[in-house]
This record gives sequence, C-alpha cells and structure tokens, in this order.
Amino acid sequence: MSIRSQLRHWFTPHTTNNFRAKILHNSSIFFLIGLLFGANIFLRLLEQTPLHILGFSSSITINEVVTKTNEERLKAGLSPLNYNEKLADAARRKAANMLEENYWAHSSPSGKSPWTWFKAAGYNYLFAGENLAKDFGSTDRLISAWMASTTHKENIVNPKYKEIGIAVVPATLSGSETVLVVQLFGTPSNGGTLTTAPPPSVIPKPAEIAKIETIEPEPTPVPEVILSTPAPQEVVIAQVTPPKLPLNSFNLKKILSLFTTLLFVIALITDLILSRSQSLSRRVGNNWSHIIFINFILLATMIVKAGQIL
Amino acid sequence: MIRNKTDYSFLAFLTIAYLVAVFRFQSRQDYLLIATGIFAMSYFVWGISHHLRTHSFHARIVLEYFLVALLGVIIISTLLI
Repeated sequence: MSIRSQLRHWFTPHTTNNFRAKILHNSSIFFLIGLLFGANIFLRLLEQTPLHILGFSSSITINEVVTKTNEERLKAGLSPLNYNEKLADAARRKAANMLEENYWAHSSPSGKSPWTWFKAAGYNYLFAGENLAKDFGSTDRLISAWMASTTHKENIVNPKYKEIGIAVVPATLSGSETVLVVQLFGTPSNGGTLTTAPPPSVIPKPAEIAKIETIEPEPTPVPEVILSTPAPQEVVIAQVTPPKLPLNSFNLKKILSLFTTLLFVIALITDLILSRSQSLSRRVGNNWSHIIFINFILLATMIVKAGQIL
Repeated sequence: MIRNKTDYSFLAFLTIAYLVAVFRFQSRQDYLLIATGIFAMSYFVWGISHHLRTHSFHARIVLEYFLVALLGVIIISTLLI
C-alpha cells in the first residue's frame, strides 16, 4: 500500500478498516499501550547504562534556595533565616544517608528519623523541620512547588525557625540521575535571642508529611553557646550544578506521551468528521467523549513537570 | 443541539475536577497518579453508563472505554513513575 492509502487506513473510516480509523481499533489502542510501556522500560534501562546517554541537569544552588526561601518569608512579614553551617552539615548527612540506604523519605529504612542528622551534626534545637525535593531543574520551580504544598509552606514561613541549612546533591538514586535537595530549618536551643522554653502550642504532628519536631530545652545552660550566623553569601558554598547533559529522560518521556496523545486525538477528530459527513452508522465508542478525555490527559501531560517534594 | 445533557454535564464535572487536581498536585506525583486513576476509572464507568442510556451498549465498546482509560493512565504514569 502507498503512504496515502496507509494514512487513510490508519486515520480515516474506510472499507479497509471496517469504517473506523484503524488506530482507534481496540487492537491498535492495546498496541499503543504496549509501545508506551516498552519505550518507558527502554528509557529506564538507558538511564542505568554506564554510558550516561541520558541524564539530569539542574541549575539549583544553595545560595538561590536560601535567598528565595527568605524572599517568601519576607513576603509573609517574617524575618529572614540565617544560614547555619551545622544545619547544612546535617542536610548533607541526610542526603548522603538517602544515597547510602537508597531511599526517598523523611525516615530511613533502618529507622533513622530526620532529627538523627541534627544531633549528628551537633545542632541542638528547640524547633526543627525538614523539606525534601528531587528532580527539579530550577530553584524557582522548586520553591513554587514547596509553597504550593501546605505542609512544606508551613516550614518555610514558620516564625519559630531562625536558621536554615541546605544540601543540593547531584546523585543517582534508585538507578536514576537526579538532584536531591534537603532543606533543614532550626531554632537553636542555646541561641542568645531565643526564649528558653518552647510555647506549649507547638506539638509535633507525626502524620504530617513535612515534619516539625519540638524537644524540651536543656534544663541547664550549655557552656559553649553556638551562635548562628554567617549570612548566606558569606558561606562557602559547594558548586552543585551538575554538568549539562545532552538528553533528559523526563523530557523524552514527555515528548513520547505528547506524540501518542496527539496522534490519537487527530485520529479521533478525523474519524468523527468523516463518519458524520458520510452518515456512517457504527457501534463504537463515543468519539466526542474520547476527545474530551484524551485532551484533558494531554493537558495534564503538558502541566506535569519534573520534580518531587516530600 | 446537545443530546444527553446530563451525561455530558457529568463528564464536564469529571474533567474540571481532574484539572483542578492536576494543578493542585503538580509536584505530588503520588497524588497525581491517584487523581489520574480516579479520572480514568470514572471515565470508564461514564462510558458504560452513557451507552446503556443511549441503548448502544456492546461488549466491544466496554473494552474500548477500558483501553482508552488505560491509555490515559499509562500516558501519565509514564511521566510520573
């Protein structure tokens, strides 16, 4: 068959396809599903090859995360957070543990809570919180995602926090290249400007995804008072931007999804118009409703962006 | 003139609810997957109900709605998982 007759067979109702575009036949839809599955598995395997054909690039920096977090606090009428190296150390320890134990959660499979890393870094706190993110390409997108989530926003614009520590770690987690962002908030238990006892209203809520924990302050004064402090721009910040990579797995999957959806929508519209013009009587699904359903899936495909928060 | 206004009104409600969920949970992939699953399942049920009401029900149509709904879920889950 010529290309023209092939196109007619696949996209228009005709005698060769029992008067229903071939791509809309159940067997063809089944084939499309299989094709998407196969392509997804292939891309995943490609990601895990040592060739690094596919990868992940991100422009997120610690400085930007601190600056934009403080911008959000200023908008909410709160004082900016001071960058604390001990909190940053705790964040790096958390990121390292996620890679070591290969997990993506607030608590590790071996039962280590986020607060383990505060203690390990020597940061004694009155209040503490943790936000996690991965797969984000830019700081703006990352902060927008956190601000869109109630529990994460509660951490960012929490008046009880005085300090912040960030780790931005390019890494391979569960076989996929990504950039992990660990954002820790804290209020030191021995800070000079702080009240000595936490307000009774602050009670930890274990069910919350973004966790906030309160502990009792030390009953006796700590001999060595650690004051927080360097401003973010004064802190030595590691270069965290990974090298730009030629292809991105997420973008390839998105192109594939958009292409499949568009192909299906074009076939549905062509089939609908031609069947109406030819007054065909067929016992098939409703093209209008399929168009509406698939178009909303198409819209969702365009809206969905890379990046996960926890 | 649109026939089966009730059916299409319900479909419009489903799509708007899904769109709201997509905007709301842009960065919560688990919630997005659940929202897409619910949308697809609702669409499948809507399809069967619509064809029963219009007296055009057939086993092949049930399979068609199932496959279209599954295609929608696969398209989104390919991006999210």
